[in-house]
Amino acid sequence: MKQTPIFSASNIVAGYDKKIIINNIDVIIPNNKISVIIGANACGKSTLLKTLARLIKPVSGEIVLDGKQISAIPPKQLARVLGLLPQAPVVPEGITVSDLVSRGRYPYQNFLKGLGKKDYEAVEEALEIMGITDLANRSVDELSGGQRQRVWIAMALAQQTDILLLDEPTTFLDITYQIEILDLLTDLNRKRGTTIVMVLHDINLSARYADYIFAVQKGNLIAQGEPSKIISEELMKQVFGLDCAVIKDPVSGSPFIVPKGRYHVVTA
Amino acid sequence: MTNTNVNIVRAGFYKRRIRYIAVTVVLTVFTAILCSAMLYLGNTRYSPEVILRVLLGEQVKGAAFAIGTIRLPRMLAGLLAGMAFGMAGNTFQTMLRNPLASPDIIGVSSGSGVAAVFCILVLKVSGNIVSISAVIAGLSVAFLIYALSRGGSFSGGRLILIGIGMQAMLNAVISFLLLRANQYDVPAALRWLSGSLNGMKMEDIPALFIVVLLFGCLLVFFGRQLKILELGEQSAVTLGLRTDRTRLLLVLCAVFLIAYATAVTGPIAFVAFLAGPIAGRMAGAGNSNTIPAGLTGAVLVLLADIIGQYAFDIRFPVGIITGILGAPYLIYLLIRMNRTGGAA
Repeated sequence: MKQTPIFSASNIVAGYDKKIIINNIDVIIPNNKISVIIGANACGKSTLLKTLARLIKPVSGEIVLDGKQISAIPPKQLARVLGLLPQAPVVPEGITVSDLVSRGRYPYQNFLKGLGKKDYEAVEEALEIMGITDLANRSVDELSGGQRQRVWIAMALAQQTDILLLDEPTTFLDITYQIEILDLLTDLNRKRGTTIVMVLHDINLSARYADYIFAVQKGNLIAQGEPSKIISEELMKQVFGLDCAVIKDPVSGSPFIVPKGRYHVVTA
Repeated sequence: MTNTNVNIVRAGFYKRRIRYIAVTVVLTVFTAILCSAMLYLGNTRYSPEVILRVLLGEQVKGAAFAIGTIRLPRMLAGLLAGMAFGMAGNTFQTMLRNPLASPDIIGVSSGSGVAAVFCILVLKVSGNIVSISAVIAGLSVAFLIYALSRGGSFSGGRLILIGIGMQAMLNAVISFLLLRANQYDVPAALRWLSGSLNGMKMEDIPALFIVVLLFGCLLVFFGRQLKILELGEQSAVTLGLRTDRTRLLLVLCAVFLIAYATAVTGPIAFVAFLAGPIAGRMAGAGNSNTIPAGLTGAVLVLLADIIGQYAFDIRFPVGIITGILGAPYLIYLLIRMNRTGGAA
């Protein structure tokens, strides 16, 4: 396992246009671990991820990778270390799976040279890991949502970055595919040591798959740590404004939240 | 990793590469045939030997005028303008991921057209001044459309609708200029506006040739960047592309091509719009397709000009023929855009 560079952000203030969405967040991303950012809708979790991925330029604060500010690193060089899977990536019409995945090799190509042996190997390996080698020559348009998501992750894998950021990789997928994608990402983390940071909606899946959780509320980071240490009734109340009970996940042993509504609550 | 799996992937890449090369070669040969036909066809048909001697600069009686002064500039203008339209259209369409985003649909060509008509009818100038004004007007329209469609979050669908509106407005300006012009100048302007290769002169060619060579080569070199931009802003930034810079460069190249070609031949309808999708269908969607699109553009213009000249009792300018070809495709795309809720 190679040494992953340290990735951190300090005093980040960021937003869209003039509207500030996150104020003064500090994070140090745990190396070779899976981290999940949780929070209510519009709390700034996606903005935080996009700022880390340099898609949003922070108003102030600095993001540092391996001792250097990311804005000072040449874009292609940065793209070999830090990858992102956007929430709704755009599929060019009619493109085949392996052509799309091969575009993940762009940071390694220079001006005149086309795809080389190393690039083909990286594409083949990415398809293999995602289990979509047999779809290689199919058009991406024809695939199901779950298959497409695997294609996009394969493209990010072909980029061979040490750090991979994912913005809600399981949204719009059936529960079966959600588990499948999270298992594949865990494989990646365990086999390659890839540092993964993702935004997820489902608290219980987050608690199960994350090594580390960042909880964001109204643009502030209000809690962080291992799921078993931080997921509590108080935190859920604070982050989501939700009354719930926290029990032990019968399968994984991680914390499991059971929401309480106004109805169907059995009074003891 | 099993060997058969590797073979599936490599074989796929190889097959698509072969297809791309084969399509490019076939298009090149077809373009060459059409170019030869343009030199051969006409009131008097000269033997290939005579044509060759004229091309090599020999003063063959009669043939030197018919071929050297009339047919050769006509053929070269059609070839170069077709390539310019095809490459520029493909660049816009790929960058914005929508076949409707062609410069002749979203008003960039009309912007150049207004400038050219203004130069011809009001300022009564011609030559390079027309081309330069056309470039400036085309760029202004491109940036105006971009700025207007930016408010809030950027959307390709909105850019196209604003562009179509812009096109209508610019066409109104052209109509106004025609109404106010000296009636003796109007026929010439109208012929130019319908897109015509009639009366091309050899002195129009060198500037167009240099523009097509220079900006065409740039677009070919930046094909890989174009393919990355096609993935959308977020993926492109993630892959390490400097998107603003790249987009600016590609738009500049495409507008130069469109504006220069438009200044010489007039806005030949729908060539920019049709060339990219046709080339993409033939060569495959995984490539940047700048070269096949340029060749397809040339084939469309040359073929349409041959049809316009010889297929009917009266001669039609090339733009009328390409217009008849392009209109049904435009309607089809608009219907499809309507069906998908404008998300296009």
